[in-house]
Amino acid sequence: MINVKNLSFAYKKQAPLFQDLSLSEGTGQIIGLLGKNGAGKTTLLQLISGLLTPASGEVLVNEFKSTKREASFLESIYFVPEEFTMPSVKMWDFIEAFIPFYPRFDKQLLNDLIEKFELDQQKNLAKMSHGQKKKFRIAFALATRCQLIVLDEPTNGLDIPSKTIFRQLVAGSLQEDQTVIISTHQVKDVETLIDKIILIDNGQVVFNQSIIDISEKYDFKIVSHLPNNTLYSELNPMGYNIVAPANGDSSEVDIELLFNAINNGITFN
Amino acid sequence: MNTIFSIKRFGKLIKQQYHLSKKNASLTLISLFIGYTLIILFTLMSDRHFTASSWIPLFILLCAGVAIPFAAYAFPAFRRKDLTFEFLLLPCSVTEKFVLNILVRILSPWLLLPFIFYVSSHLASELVLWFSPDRFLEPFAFTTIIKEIGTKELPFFLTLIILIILIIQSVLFAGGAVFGKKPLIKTLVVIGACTALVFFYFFSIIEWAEVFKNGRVPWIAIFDNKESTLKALVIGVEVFVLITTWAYAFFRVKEKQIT
Amino acid sequence: MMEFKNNKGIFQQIADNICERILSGEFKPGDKVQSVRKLAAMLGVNQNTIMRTFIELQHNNIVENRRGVGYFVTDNAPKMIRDMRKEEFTQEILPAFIQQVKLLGITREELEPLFNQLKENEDEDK
Repeated sequence: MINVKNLSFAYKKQAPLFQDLSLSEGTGQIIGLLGKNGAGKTTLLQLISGLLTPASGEVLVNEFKSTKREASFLESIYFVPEEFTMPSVKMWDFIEAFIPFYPRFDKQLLNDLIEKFELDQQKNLAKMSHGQKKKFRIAFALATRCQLIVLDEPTNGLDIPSKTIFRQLVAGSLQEDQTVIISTHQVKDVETLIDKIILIDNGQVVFNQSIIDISEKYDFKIVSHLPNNTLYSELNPMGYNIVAPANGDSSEVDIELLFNAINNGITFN
Repeated sequence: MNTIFSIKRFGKLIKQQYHLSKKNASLTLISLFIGYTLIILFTLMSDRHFTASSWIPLFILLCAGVAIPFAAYAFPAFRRKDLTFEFLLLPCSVTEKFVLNILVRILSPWLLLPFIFYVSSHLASELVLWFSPDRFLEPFAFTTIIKEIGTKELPFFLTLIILIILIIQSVLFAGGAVFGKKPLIKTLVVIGACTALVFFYFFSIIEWAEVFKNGRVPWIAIFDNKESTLKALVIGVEVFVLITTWAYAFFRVKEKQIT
Repeated sequence: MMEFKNNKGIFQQIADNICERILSGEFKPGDKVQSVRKLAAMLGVNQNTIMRTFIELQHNNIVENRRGVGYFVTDNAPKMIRDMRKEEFTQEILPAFIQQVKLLGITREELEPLFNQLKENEDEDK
């Protein structure tokens, strides 16, 4: 589905952001793309979507070279950016204007999603609040049924009930041949939603594993004293938040702890 | 499906434009109509000696005054990063997006502005005659322009004028497309090569082959006298400038990136 | 060392929840369990995670997959779940409990409610 081969990229007059980065992902996943501020999450998403051209290497999405921006490539991908402007038209007009470009569009699904997000179809999009605009774009993205849906910081600007609804809608409306990439700093918002974590740092993919694998290989828990096999620990009001090799049972992955562990040089493989 | 240009996808693009800009477009056309009518009315009132040929500068001024800045705002999405993003990801080929902009930004004023001018001028004339019924006023007609040029040179001068206006529009249109990856160098090379080729061709006919001095016409010449050759040269250069300007704009759009 | 919190993996949590609902009688043997998509939509949890839950439950013979129809509660699911829970109790909870009894010096009198319950259980079995 997504095939990034030896990608290098640098913005003009800046140090290289990615050097020889490779990545290969199949369909039917919700990928969480994590990284520190400035690690290049959005840039990587833009390179995958063909909005930027790599200095070297290439990006293939469904066998399409993304920099070519062919129409049949573009109709298989929907990207909801973090910040965007909506045209000053009624939601209905926007829907009519863009539906024809997406051959797999599911209008019934869109109506369901709009209803669940409590959006008003009669309203002018430019006059909606940032959170409402975002909910509409997310609903539209899911309804396109595009093979690749890219969500850049989707929960930024959503209120607390909307975040729960967001998870339910994304989890419930995907089909097997679809892939979703969510880039986020709000790990808690998507913790149960994603089934794969990709972490980028220093221009490289430093971690790439499925949540189920991590939950079976490592034990995340709160303890009073540090056991000998502790891989990484953080102070906690009750003692320590630790990650250690698993003892046979699965445990709920604490993505924030994992993130900090990796950034402190702990390797998980 | 055709990856370069598909009529079906282009139709979707037109439909999209309709849904997104029907309100703005109709407001613009109505304002233009009101604006034209008022300006023409004011001119007719202040100029007691308004003759049939006085329509021509007014016509050119009002049409060009709108068409030229309108072309300069081609690819409105490129003015802002977030809109550029949406433009690039819209599932259409570059050619389709480009042709749409040529149609809307360069060609549509050729149809719409003369039409609005025609209606406005007639409305204004009627109003003037209503205020001062004794006044003689010849209404505006497109034939006035043709009469003014004269029938003998008409095809040449009409082509010349149309091409010059198109070139001005296109250069501004190209300016509307923002920097991409090396299109500037590519286009300059193309322009340079094309112009050199054209000049070499005519130079070789007129000077080097000395065709018109001794009456010999070599097989490479398609014209048989100096005057028509010069005219063709002018038109040829203009067509080339037009095409290269469009090609330049096209490459800029094709290689456009989010920056 | 004391462990205060060790949540099981999410797929395990969902499996436990389904088991709980089978024990409480909400899902009876032969009943169809919600589809993967529906559970995902209800819980806001990844469909692959839910799939994993069902594979786990199927592996323990608590649900069975009828191709193209969905997952159904097996006839002996309640018994299977009780057996599994009993094993978990004797293996993990009881030793920890005994350790606490030892640590705090709990006496027979203080555990009176426990013995009463044990007696009730034995009476029920007869």
